[in-house]
Order: sequence, then structure tokens, then C-alpha cells
Amino acid sequence: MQSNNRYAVSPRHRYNPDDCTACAVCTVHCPVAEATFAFRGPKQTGPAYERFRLAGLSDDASIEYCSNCKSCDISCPSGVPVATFNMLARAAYRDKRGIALRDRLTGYSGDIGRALRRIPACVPNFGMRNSVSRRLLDLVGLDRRAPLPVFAPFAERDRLRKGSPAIVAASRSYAAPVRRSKVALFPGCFVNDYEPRVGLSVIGLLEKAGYEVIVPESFVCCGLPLVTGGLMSAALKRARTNSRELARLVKLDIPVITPCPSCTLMLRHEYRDLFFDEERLADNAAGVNEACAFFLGVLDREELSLADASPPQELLAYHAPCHLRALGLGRPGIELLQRIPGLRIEDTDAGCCGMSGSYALKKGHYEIGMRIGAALFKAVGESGAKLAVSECGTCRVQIGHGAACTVAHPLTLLAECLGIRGVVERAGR
Amino acid sequence: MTGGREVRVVIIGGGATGTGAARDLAVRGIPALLLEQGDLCSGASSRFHGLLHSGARYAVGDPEAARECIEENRILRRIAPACVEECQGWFVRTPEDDPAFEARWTEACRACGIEARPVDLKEARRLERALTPEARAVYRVPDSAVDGFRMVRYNAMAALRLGGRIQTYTRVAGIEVVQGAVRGVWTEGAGERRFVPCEYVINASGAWAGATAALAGVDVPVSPDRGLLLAFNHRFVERVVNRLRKATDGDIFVPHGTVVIFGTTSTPVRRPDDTDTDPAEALNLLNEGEALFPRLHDYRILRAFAGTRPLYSPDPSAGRAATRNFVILDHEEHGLKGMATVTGGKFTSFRLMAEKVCDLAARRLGVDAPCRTAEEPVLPAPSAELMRRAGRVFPAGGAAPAAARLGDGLAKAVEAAEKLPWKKLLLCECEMVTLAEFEAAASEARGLSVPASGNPCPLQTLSGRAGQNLPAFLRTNEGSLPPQNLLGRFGQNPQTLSNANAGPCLPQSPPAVSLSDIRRRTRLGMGTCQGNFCALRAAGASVEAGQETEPDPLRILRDFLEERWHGIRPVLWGRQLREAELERGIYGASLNVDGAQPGSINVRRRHVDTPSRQGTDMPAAACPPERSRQAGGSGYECGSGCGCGYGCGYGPKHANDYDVVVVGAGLAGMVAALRAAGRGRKTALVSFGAGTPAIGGGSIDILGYIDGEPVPGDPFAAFDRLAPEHPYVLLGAQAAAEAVNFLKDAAASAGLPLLQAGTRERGNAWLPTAAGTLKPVWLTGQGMNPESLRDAKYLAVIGVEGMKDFSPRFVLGGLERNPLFAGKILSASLLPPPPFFPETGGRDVTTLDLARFMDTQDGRDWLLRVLPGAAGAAAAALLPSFLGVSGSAQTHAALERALGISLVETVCLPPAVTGLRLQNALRRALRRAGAAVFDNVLITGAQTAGRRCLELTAEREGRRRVFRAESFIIATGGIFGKGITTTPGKAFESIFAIPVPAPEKQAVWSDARFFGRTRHRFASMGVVVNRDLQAVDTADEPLLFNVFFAGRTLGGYDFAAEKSGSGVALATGWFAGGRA
Repeated sequence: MQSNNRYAVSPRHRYNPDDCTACAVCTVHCPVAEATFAFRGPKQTGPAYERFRLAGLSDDASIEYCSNCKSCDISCPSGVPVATFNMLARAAYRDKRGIALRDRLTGYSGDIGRALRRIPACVPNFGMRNSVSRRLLDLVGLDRRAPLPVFAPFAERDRLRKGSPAIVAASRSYAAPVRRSKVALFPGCFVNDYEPRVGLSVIGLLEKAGYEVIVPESFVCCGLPLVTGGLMSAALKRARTNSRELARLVKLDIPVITPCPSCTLMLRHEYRDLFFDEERLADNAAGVNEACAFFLGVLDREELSLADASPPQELLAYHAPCHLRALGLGRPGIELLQRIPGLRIEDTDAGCCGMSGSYALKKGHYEIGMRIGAALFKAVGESGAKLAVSECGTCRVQIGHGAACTVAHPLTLLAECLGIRGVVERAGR
Repeated sequence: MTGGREVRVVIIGGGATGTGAARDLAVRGIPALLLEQGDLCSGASSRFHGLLHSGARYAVGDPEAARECIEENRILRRIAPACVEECQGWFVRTPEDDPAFEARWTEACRACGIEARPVDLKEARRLERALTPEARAVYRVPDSAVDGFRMVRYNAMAALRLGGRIQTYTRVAGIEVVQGAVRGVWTEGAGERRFVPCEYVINASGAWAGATAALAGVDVPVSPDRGLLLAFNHRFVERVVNRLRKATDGDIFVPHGTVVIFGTTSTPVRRPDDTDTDPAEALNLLNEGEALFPRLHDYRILRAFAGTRPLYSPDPSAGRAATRNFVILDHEEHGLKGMATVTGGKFTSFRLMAEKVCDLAARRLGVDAPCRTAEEPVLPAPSAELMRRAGRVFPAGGAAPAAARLGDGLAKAVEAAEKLPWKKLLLCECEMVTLAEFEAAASEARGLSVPASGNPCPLQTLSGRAGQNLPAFLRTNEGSLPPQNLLGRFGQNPQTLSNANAGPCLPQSPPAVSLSDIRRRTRLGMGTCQGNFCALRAAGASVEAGQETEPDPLRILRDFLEERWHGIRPVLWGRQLREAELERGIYGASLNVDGAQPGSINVRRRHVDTPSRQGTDMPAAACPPERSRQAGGSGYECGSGCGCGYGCGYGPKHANDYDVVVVGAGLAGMVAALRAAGRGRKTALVSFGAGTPAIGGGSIDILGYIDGEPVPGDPFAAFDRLAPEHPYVLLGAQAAAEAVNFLKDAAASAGLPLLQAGTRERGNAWLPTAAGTLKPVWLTGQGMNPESLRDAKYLAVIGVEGMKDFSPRFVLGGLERNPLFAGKILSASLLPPPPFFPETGGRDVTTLDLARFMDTQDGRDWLLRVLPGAAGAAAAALLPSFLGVSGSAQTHAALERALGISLVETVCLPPAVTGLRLQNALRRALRRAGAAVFDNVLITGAQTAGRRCLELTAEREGRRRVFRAESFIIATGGIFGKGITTTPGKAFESIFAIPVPAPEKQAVWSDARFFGRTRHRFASMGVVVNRDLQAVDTADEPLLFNVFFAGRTLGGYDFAAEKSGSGVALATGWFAGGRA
């Protein structure tokens, strides 16, 4: 079916600010603008200044404040890719001024984790988290109060890399599946390094549903941390690598799923939005599945039954990550959990958590992040739930930090309900 | 200024040539006075494409003009770098253009000394991505962009620096000739007639040159020739791009700061001020331009404008064939001593024209000072120190453009912004115009328009001479009176003149400084939103600055919006029509700038032009388009046994099915989803964007006006006076009333009790707005109780220092004129800036920011501390709507108790805190009712079978999602919400492509006046539905049985003029939610 909305299908030669009506709805819904006046707001730094940037004029320091949470894109009635404008502008801004060490640290965190993957977790954890290091990190711009994520034990990280553990060796390859069909998992850096159990839960659930899971070695960081850090060309490099791997999988008809909404967003939307120069780069990434949405299909097809699921808690507080909302998938995580008998879920619907990847780790942004998240922390606290659930890794870290509670991925919870593994863990510190 | 100094030369015309001559004479030391009937640069000097010709365009046809151009081009780039953007230019030959011409052209350029270097085609495509890939040849030439406004003002500033004098808004009413020699000119301006004796007159009045010359009895054959130009919203091209062919229409693109100007055409016109433009002409131009930029139709056009070239030609039909060279007519050769006319020519050669005419004048005056305008910079560049300071006060690299715009005014603006931090606030966000710059520009404009108090020219007022000595033109020129537009009533009626002291026959003086004067100096309102946001702020700022000579402050605002409208109208489709709808939403629906005020005398007459479905030039609503029909089945019974009830082909089970899918999260959509979910239907709300409540919602209006007249009494009872296709008439008053109760219950249970402001007995309540008007409402938030105003004898209008969206003095000016406020004591005051007020660089404060502040204890304490001082002894305070985003009734009551006065919130510019409160409350209610909410999903199409919709599809750049349901409610909004898509002469519903009745002739979509008496046809365009809110075909048969339309997607009503937007959204949403 042809689309009637002309701009939705027309190939763009470049993003332009023509759709913006200056209505300011994006600024109303921008959590950063609500938390600080230092940020001029998405309308101004995005489409409004874009007109000046095209004339080589604007050079705005407040672009540093955008957290790329995408609340502007979600609220815009005109379909303006506001955050994309900001990210491209920030990259240009930092090209001129150089990129701070802290942005390199967070931007390349996936590569750092990859380099450390054969090293026991206690080494980087101690190396990063002792008070001397925190002071040093504080000096380079990572706030010492911020909740740094914790590297998971070596064994878990190692197991995740290997994909389906329980089945024959053949299944770890791209060869035809022994069981129903093959699925490729894109775990994402956060899951790879800090919460492999989320990935392991996904694998466990898929296996129970009759799938074989591969975790392709050649997948690298989706590139989103690099984009927010202004390292656009490094991000493009990652995109190319992932795109090649995705093309191979698409050819083999192997669906790709990822439990991280931000990775999903980057792969599905941002490759096309940011790297509009590279034809076909985004073609294969557009089909990546968000894990919870994929499992809704699994349940619908009755490949998995929740009849004898037993929830560890009766009441959950759910937080929909901004990037999940930006995906336009609704709230598949909450829909999934609602199908577990005996479980009550309170949708907090209290806006952004304030972390936005690594935003609130940074000095000067930590307080902003905590102010943004305050409403959510309060809502989680008031819900009376002992356990909070959210799809996004860094949201979990922030909620754990701000609301001092246990936070899990919906699929680790689902796996636990089905007795697959005791995987609910304490996030944050 | 040297008071009492003689004026030797009077220059008539404040365009490029006139101000160029003023500068030239000032440099030579000849005392001169420039007179301009409007503002500087209000003629063709600002109404052209802004191309600083390299001469290449004229190389083949007119080598002499080409040589002049390249020389002047070099000079201007040297003497006025701030006015020229050195972007270079290209000549591009498309496949349609004659290759033989290319050879002739390169040869001609060489001969004229214009460097034209070929550009590699691949390189060209890389450098200009929007350019056609089909280009056959590209050459680089030294074209540049020149800012006409700025160049003219720079000339003027240079003249003023050297003692020259300039007076704007002063018409020349006559030229006194005694014994074949000019003795002086008669002027008319600022409510006075004066006589300025002089020895010489330079007629530099452009397309008006013929009329001016006629004042002295000389015939100058100048024919005005109109050229149409289009301004695009963003800079899709970085260089000037010319089409390499024989000069004709639509072959020049010039990037200018943030915009691109494209032109032009050539149409002989009769009047020099005939700058009206037509959509058909604009569309022709676009088609022409597509050869160079294939996606030209996709770029947003901000406006169309036209200028009239002064073509000097005895043959008025010559058009482009007429020479573009300038002429200097020494009228001494025609028997009139002391006058010369300079006309024809082009902007690029204005300096040369000024030089030549001043050479002549100097010779006649016996002055032998040589011309030095080509050597000296027009204005010295601002000092590095000043620029450093400017960098600190103008945001985001805005210092350089502001410095270039302000010229000599920069130092003043920087000082002002350094002294008071809120002078850094942006009045115009699209073009980054700060309050400091606004004030500097206002003072510059005022300085020019008001004759200096010391009476610098030895002027004699007319009254002393009237009766005995009639002005010269009446004697010298009795047979042919000058045209009316030059003289007004003064010239037409010598009888009145001889009656002396004839005050009443003088034209009304314009406001001291209009917003348009400031716009020409700053680009205020010339960006994306075309004044939607800055108009009110700027009108407020000019009132706050105490320069209103205009008794009705609203007129400052209206005049500006009307002036903007004149250029928007010809390109009123697609994105620019959305912007216009936003404008109607803000100034019509929210601020009621257009509606007759209750009790006031200016009740407007009934409108004459009711848009009708069966209008002669409208296509009737047709059947659904092909692709909706092809999906198949004979009816809406499926019969395939899949269990879905309709032929869906999706297999036996749809676990994702909903009972009801609502598209659109505005008021209509939220209410529909809420009611459907409340009825136990499994409901999904799918939205793209957050809907309009946060833009201008919050209070619920039912029906304020019918045909421009306020509805007296019960608005529900007035439904039967509405047209039969009006949604209210389709649903009936009972349904609307139930919907109101539904909303009241829903909002109250979500923690936002609404106030029943209007009553069946008394009718609508009237709520004050930030524009100083009253607007009719039915339900409001708790903080907007108009009753409190009725009872208060002493009322304080209170704003906040540095909150540019709300000017208490502007509001006061409006309320004072309103009879409902007669007998009340009104005051206006400002609260000091709140403690969080950003000192540097940060975001500007809106009502929303203050509201968030009020949600904290600190904020409420601050208000309790500062408000009593501002309110004085008032019994009620009128405030911007900032009393908390939560809008809690308890907080409001507690504040009122603590302060001992009533606090009433007004309707403000977006963002609308009141609307955000309602939106938040309804979202809470939806969550509680168990409706699934899908954000950021753009529904792009639908799968239908027969007369039933099976599913909606969301498809965006390779990603696809399907929503299946039993019934669908479409509340996607109208033109602004993108529920209705418009293209020139066409409109259709966006998901199902249902045709919407629209006049094929684009020109009749809108009225010439934005707030005129005639309704805009586009205002009531929408889906035609039956009483069940199903879209119908011409035979009134439903097109789709299970699809219901609600809100502004519907046609047949004008939300802005009627003040019925939220009422219709509410009633139709409620009905659809109950029906689906």
C-alpha cells in the first residue's frame, strides 16, 4: 500500500527544517529543558538553528545539553527529526572543538568492554569503582556520584558470547537449524558487558520456544553512544560493520532480535536518519526486532505458554524507556507482562529517567539527570512495588540509583516466571 | 545635527539610489534632505532577488550593462562587506537549454571581463546537492548576494554620520517651480504640511519616478514592471544559481542568510505599488525552477512577494526587452532648472547611478567636490572589542548577523543587553532577533520618521500661506493632477486647501514605528513562523517601551499579521497552510484577535461568502480512491471462515486485534479513546506527536461566534442557526451537552476539576487573553474564573519582567477599551524576574517554566513575596497562566487565601500550560481506563475491503506496522494536524485519501485579509460525514462503515472564527467513542 503522507516516503536529499511550524510542543515535552535553562530547548537548537547552520552561522554551546532521549521526536506533530538535527549539529560542533575524554570513554564503552571481555570482572570493576579512580574519572568529567554500571562476572559474559549453550555445536553457526528455526541475537554492549543475564534469558526463552540462537561474533556496538558523543564517523564505521552482518543474516532468512530499545532504535531508525548519505546501509537494519515485541508474536503463535508461569512478585512498576516510545511499538514489554497470570503492573508513565545512555554520568549533567528522573523515582516509590521493570539497561541503572530498588528487564522476569533461570538481579550499586 | 542649516538638494525616494545619492552628497559636503513616502527601502530595493550581479546575466544581451555590473560588483564587495554575502554564483545549463547559447555566453563574458570558469560536473553535484543531476554545464562567476534592506540603511547611516538628513513617512506633495526653476518641495507627513526650500531636486523614486516628475510638470516615461519572487524556508543552495540561457522567467536562485530567494517574472503593471501576487503565477514559477532544482516543489515556500522595476521606456509593453540600463534625465534640457531624474537600472549599479546624478547636481550647484563613494567604506567595521562584547550578549553565534543588521546601532544594542539581561531574550526565535536589537531598530526607525524637534529644515507650515499662495504643483500642473496614491486627498481637493488649517483632510499618521519598520531592519517575523510567535511579543515590547502613539495596541499586532498574510496567501498550501492554521489557532482561537468584543460597538456585519459543498468550482466528494476499493469483497461480510467477520486473509486469529483503534492524541482522540475504553472496548490510541492541547488548549469553548457576531445566550441553543453540515448540527445539542459532562467527570476523576464558566442562562463566559481581548469560553480551568473579574473594582494586570510572551501594558490597552471593563480601575505592573532567571545564554522563560516553578514550594514562596507589591490594592490580579502545571485547585485557593486577592489566569501564547494540564489529566485517565497508547506511530495508509476498513498501516522508510480492529476512529486533526493534506487546488484526508471538497482555484482558498469579514474557504475544509460521523460519498452513502471521524478532520466548521474548536473536538470525539 502506498503511503499518502508524502514526506513519509519521499527519499530525502538531506534533512531540512521545512516541516517545523515552530509550535514549541517539543520544548514542552523536553525533559532536559524542564530541568535546566542552560539548554535552549529542542526547537531552538534543532530546526530553528538548523536554518542558521545551513548558512554557516550558528555555533551554539547549548547543543551539549541535548540528551538525545528523543522526547522531541515523539511529541512533534510535524514529524521533524529534532534529535537527529541536534546530534548532527553536535558532531559538527565537536569536530571544531575537539571531543572530551569523557565523551570518548562513554562513546567507546562498547569497545572498552570488548577489550576487557577475557578479563575477570573484578579487575575493571575495582579499577573503575574505587574512590581514587572515581576522583580521577570525576576530573575527566564523569561525575563521582553517578551510578557506573558494574561489569558482570566473566563466566556470564563468556556464556552469552557463545549463544545457545544447550544444543548441538552446529547450531552456533549460520547453518540450517536443527530445531524450529534460527534467531540471531544482537545483545548490545550493555547486556554484553554488564547484564549478560538479560541475553541469557532471551536465549533460554527462545530455546524453550523451540528456536536456536546464535550470537554473531561480528556484531559490534550499534554506534549510539558514539553518536551522542559526537563521534559520528566512528559510529558510521560500526554501522557499516553491523550492516554487513545484518545483510548476511537477512539473506539466510534469520531474524535478528535485540533486548535493548536503544540498539533497536539505532539500528531501525537512526542508521537511515543519520547516515542518509550511505545508500542501502539501513536497508537490512530496518527489520531488527525488539525482543519483547518478538515474544508477543511467540506467545501469539503459541510457541510458548504462560499457563504455569509463577511470578516472583505480585506487583511491578513498569517504566517505558524513551527510546522504546520513539520506536513507535507501543509498550510491548508491559503487554507481555500483563499476560502473566497473577501479576499486577503499574505503568508509571512518569517520563524520562534522566540517564539517556551515559548522559547523567557526566559532570554537570548528573544533577540534570536526577532532576529529570525525580518524577519517575517518586512514581516507582509510590507504586509500592518492590521490583521495577524496564527494557533499557541504563534506565535500569538510573532507576536503581534514584529509586533504590531492584530493576529487571521484562524478559529476565519472564524467564524467571517460567523457571528458566534465577536471573532477576539488583541493578545499580 | 546642524540645526537651521540650509538644504541645497532634496532627494525624493528612500531606495538604494536615493540613499546612495544621500551618501554621495554627504561625502561631497552638499547639504541634502532625503524624503521617502514610506519607510526606507519599502519599494523595489527590497523587493528583488538580492543578487549582486557579476554582469554575466547581461553579457550576451547588454554588454554595457554587464561591464557596469562587474565593476560595481567589485566596488560594493569592497565598500560594504557587511551587506554582501560572498557566496559566488553559478550558471547552469540544463538539457532543455540551447548549447549554442553557452558558447556565445562564455565568449561574451570574456569580452566583458567577467571571469566564468567551468566547474567539473561531478564536483558541482557534490557541492550543490539539490541541483539537478542532469546539468550539462556549470560555470562559476563572481555573483554574490546583497541584502537590499541593509545596503539602503547603511547608505542612510553613512549619510547621517556626515550630516545628511533623512525623513521617512513624508510624501512629496508638490514641487514648487518659479520661473522655470525649482524653488523647493511641499511635503506632507506626520500630520503636517511643510515647505522645504531647496536649489535642486533629485528624483530617485524608482517606479514612482514618472509621478514624481509630473509634480514638476515634466514627463518621464517610466513603466512599472512587476517581478514575482518566492522566499524559501531553508537554504537548499549555497551559491547563487542562474540558468544558463537567454534571460527569462524563473532562472535565478539566491541564498540569503537563512533563506533562498527565487525569481523572477516580468509583468507590466499600471501602478507602481501593484505588488499583488497570485498563486497561479507562483506555481508557474515553481514549474520553471524545477529544471534546476528537481525537488523544488518539496521545499517550503515562506511567502511570495513582488517588486516593481522602474523600466524607462517609451513603450510600456517592452517588458524584458526594455533596457535595464539606467538613465539620468537632466530636466534643464526640458526647460526646468534644478531637477534631475534618475531611473531604470538595477540594484547592482545603484552607486554608479547615484554618482552620476550627483555629479550632475554638483555641477549645476557649482560644487566641484569629486565623488568618493567608490573608495571609502560605507560604514567602518565594528571594533573587535565591540564584537567581543556582542558575542557575549547575542546567543549562539548570533552576534555576527546582528552586527551586520544593526550597523551603527550595534553599540547601543550591546549596551542595552549588557545592562539588562532580559534584553537578550529572543522576540523572534526563527531569525534570532533579541529585544535589544528590536529596541535599537525601533529607535533608528523612529529617528527617521519624526522630524527633529529643533525643526532642522527652515520649514514653513502651509497654514500660513494657504489661500494666498497655492502650492506650486497646482499651478504648474493643473491639467494633469498627480496620481491619487501620491497625493491622497490633499492633491485632489484644492478647495479644502484654501479653507486653511484643514486638519481633517490629512491622512492619519501611522503609528510612530510599525512592526514592519522593525522587520525591515531586523528580519523580525521573516523566518519560519512568519510572525506567529513574535507578532504578539513585538507588539507587547513596543507598548512596554512606551512608544505607542496608536490608541488601539491591537492594531499594531493586526497590521503586522495582515502585512505578513499578504505574502503568505499566494503560497497557501501544504506546509505554509499548516503554519497559517497555527496562526489562526493562536490569534483566532486562543487570543481572539479577530472576534468582535462583547458589548463593543465594532460588531461586524454578517459574512457574505459561506463556503458551500456545492460551489461551482468545487469537485464533489467522490467515491473512495481506487486502491481502497481494489482490496476486494462485495460487501463487508467476509465469509472466508477466518472468524474475523470480514475478508482479511490474515488467518484464523488476531491476538493483536483491538476493538477500537483511535488515531490521534488531541482532545478528540483522547476523549474518543477514553469513552470507548470506558465502554469496555479494547482500545488502542495511536498518535504521531502530542496533539495540539499543549499548543493552545485548556479551556473548552463551545460556540462563540456565528457569522462574526457573538452568540448571545446559550450557545447550545444557537446550534440550529448553524449550517447543516456543521458537526454540531449533525450531532445535536444534546450530544454536545453530554460530551461536556463526560469531560468534566473524566477530568475531575483524573484530578483536574474544570470550572463551569458559562451558563445556559447567561451564555458564554468571557475570558481575558494575553492580547487584551476577551474570548468566549464554556469550561475553564479552576484558575481562570472570569467571575472574579466581574466583581473586582480594581484590577491589576501583572506580568513578569523578562517574560516576553505577556505584556501587561498591552493587555491593559485592550481591556481599557472594552466596555465591560468601563468603571473599573486597571493597572499594569511587572513582577521582578524570578530567581532562576538565566543570566547568560540560556533559554527564554515561558509561562510553562514559571508554572513548573510554581509547582515547587520555592516558587510559591517567591510569588507570595513579590505579588503584593505589584498588585497594590487590587481585588483581582490577571496573570499569565503560570499557577502550576498540576493546576491543582487547592494550590490556587491557598495562594488566593494567602494573598487576599483573586488570581485569574489568562489565555497565553503557546505553550499552553492550561492545555498541558488537561492533556496530562486525560492521559492519566486513559491509562487508568486501560487503553493502550502507541506513541510516535504515523499511520500512512489503510487496507480496506468493500466498505470496511480492515487495518491501518504505519509505514515509514521501510518499517511497517499494522493495526487491526473492529472499528477505527480518525482524529488526526485537520490541516495543522496533517489529518488533511493539501496541495495546490486539492485537499484530501491523509489516511484513506478521501477527497475533501476544495476549490480548484487556489486563489479563492483564502481571503485577502487575514482577519477580514469574509471567511477563508480553507478554514472549513474537511471530511464530509453523516450523522454517524462516517465519511460519505456524493450519494450520502457511507464510504467506510467502521471508520468514524472526529475533531478537526471534519469539515463544515471554522474552529478559529467560531471559537468552537475544543467543543467540536469534544462532542465528536465523545460521539465517535460511543459509536465505535
